Amino acid sequence: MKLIPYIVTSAMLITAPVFGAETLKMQYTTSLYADERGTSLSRPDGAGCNDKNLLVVADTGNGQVLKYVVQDKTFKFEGQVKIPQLSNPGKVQVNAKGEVFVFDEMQVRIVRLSPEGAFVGYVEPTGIPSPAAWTPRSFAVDNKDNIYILDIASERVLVLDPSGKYLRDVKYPKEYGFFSDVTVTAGGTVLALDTVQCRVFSAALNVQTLAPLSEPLKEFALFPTSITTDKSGLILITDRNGGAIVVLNPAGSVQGKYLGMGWKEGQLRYPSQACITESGTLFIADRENSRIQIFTVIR
Amino acid sequence: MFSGMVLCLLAAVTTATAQDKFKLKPNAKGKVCLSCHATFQEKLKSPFVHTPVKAGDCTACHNPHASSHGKLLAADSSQICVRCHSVVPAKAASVHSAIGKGKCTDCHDPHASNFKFVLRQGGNKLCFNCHSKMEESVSKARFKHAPVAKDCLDCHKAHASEKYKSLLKDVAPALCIKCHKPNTPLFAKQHMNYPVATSRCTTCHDVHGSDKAGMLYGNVHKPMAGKMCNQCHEEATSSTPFKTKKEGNDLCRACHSNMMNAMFLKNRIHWPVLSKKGCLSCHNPHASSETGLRRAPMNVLCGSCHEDTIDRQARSITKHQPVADAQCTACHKPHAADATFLLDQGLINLCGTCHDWQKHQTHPMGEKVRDRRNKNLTVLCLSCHSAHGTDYKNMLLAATISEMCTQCHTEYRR
Repeated sequence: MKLIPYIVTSAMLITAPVFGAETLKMQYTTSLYADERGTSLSRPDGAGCNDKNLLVVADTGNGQVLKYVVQDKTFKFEGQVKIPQLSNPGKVQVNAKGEVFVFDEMQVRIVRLSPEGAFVGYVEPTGIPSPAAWTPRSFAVDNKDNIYILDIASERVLVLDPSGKYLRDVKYPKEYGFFSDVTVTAGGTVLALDTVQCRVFSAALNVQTLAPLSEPLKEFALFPTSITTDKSGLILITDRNGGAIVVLNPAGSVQGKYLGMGWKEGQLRYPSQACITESGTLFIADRENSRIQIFTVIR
Repeated sequence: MFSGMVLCLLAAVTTATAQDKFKLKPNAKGKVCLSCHATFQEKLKSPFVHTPVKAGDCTACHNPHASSHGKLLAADSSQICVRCHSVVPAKAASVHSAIGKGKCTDCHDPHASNFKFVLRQGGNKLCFNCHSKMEESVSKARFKHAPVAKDCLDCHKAHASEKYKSLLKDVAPALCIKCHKPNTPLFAKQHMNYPVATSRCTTCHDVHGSDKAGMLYGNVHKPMAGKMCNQCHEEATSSTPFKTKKEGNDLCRACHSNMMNAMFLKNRIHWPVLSKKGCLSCHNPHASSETGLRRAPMNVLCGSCHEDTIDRQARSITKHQPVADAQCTACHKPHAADATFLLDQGLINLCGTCHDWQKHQTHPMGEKVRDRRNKNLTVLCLSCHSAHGTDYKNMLLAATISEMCTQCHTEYRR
């Protein structure tokens, strides 16, 4: 086990004003500043994880994907992927088999990597009904390895089986601003984040159209761009321009706003993807601080 | 006639009320006032006199003894007129800003005038007192719209519009076809025989006048300027004449392929470009008053999604000139870029196009200078400033210079 250079730890404990019934705390744990060779991370856009403490980082500026197992504030290096098929890695998801899916913003494609880090191919939906045009803005993978693609060209969320075969789709609502991200709960509810309206929309399993779950969140978030959820259904929204994490309960009510804009550890500058494990470890791609920050969410 | 009767009744009621309230002697509610305010004698000879004034009831609006409001008004200026005049529907789609501010007297003389409705001026002159930019553009326009030169109230309501934006009496094309008959051969020829009678005229036409023939907006999409509607749309004789020949961006790509190809070579894309609306998210495919066929000035257009960023500048003590000038593209690429925030180039070079940063306080900056707050960052302009403004002077990220500097130079912190 090797320690990554520049790992800094502290014992900051950040509590947010409580808006709902549950009190949450985010305790800063540590940060990842550089890769195995000591190269500084550069504007990481993605931080994916699973419940086996696997952390997958999209080190966007360096055009690489890094894998670690995180335990006791240390990072065990598991591998690096730098391939021509993936030039600008962004959002990252890991499925139950350990396959890694990475969104490439330059190619506007989703790259599938084997658990060992080999290029498997691009996610290409098959059997999708009309309209045939689809353009991914983001994606998610559920606990059955199904793939959810936020399709901004045809205004829907495409649901595909692990092989990419069309299963169903969830239509956009009539009134919306611009959807930037999608995630799916353990129970199969699709959650989509409308950045412009600052609002979360949802569609339970077998519901065909997204509907507002939360009220507009402009009081709490400036420009939310990323959404994730934990196994209990807690929803975490990354407010990019506000440098904060807004937490909602499964019903869409605000539980609190955490962290804030800044350079110090425990603060964020234009954060991107966040990922939370079953045990409450929260990884945040702190993009403009060029680091991955790790917190423990205490409920 | 009915409204006249109502006004007389209202005047009688207010007169009786005032008389009761101030226990005035007969004829004291107005005639006494004129003994001092003698100049009003002449004013009252005007052809249009406000009803209470005509009834000699100054106390309908003024308190003869004392008031908390200017000109001894009996109520606040925003309230006094609406006590008798209800001119705004309960759920109006648009309300004249003067009314919203309680400034009825900007347009109306509360006593008497030479113009109907006791207006201060007649016709468009009155409107242009506030809408001076409109007056300028209307007067300069090579092709003028006759109603605009005559009376704004041909198309707009003066106080409020119950159903429509911009105080309009109706929306296009219903409003337009009251004068312009779409079934004439000339109309059909001018529109290349496309059945535009049900289309929104203001998509292409600047109704307040333009320098372009056909009163089109100042910037016209090349195929339209060449009357080649069928370059993008099906033929006019088709059963679906307005249907485009291709969907979304595929249509635009036919001509703008170089630009679109270059876009896909960049690391980061502006996502609305790839949405269902595609190019039309920001551009009007026919004509626009804005360059690049933008749908609106950049601060409005960009602000429709990036509201927080525009708001931040509005609140900022120091304004960043490109933002204040609504020139978002001075720094950002609107379609795609390699850098985050869709910036055109590296930050130092970008800021350096306007600011001579090398002479800036002699503080070392650049890719080789590490930010002491974070080992992964270098010292750039945005290390201390925020380009869209902050709550502090010079767009600094801290309230005072010392607070800013000691973020890094902690040894000097007191």
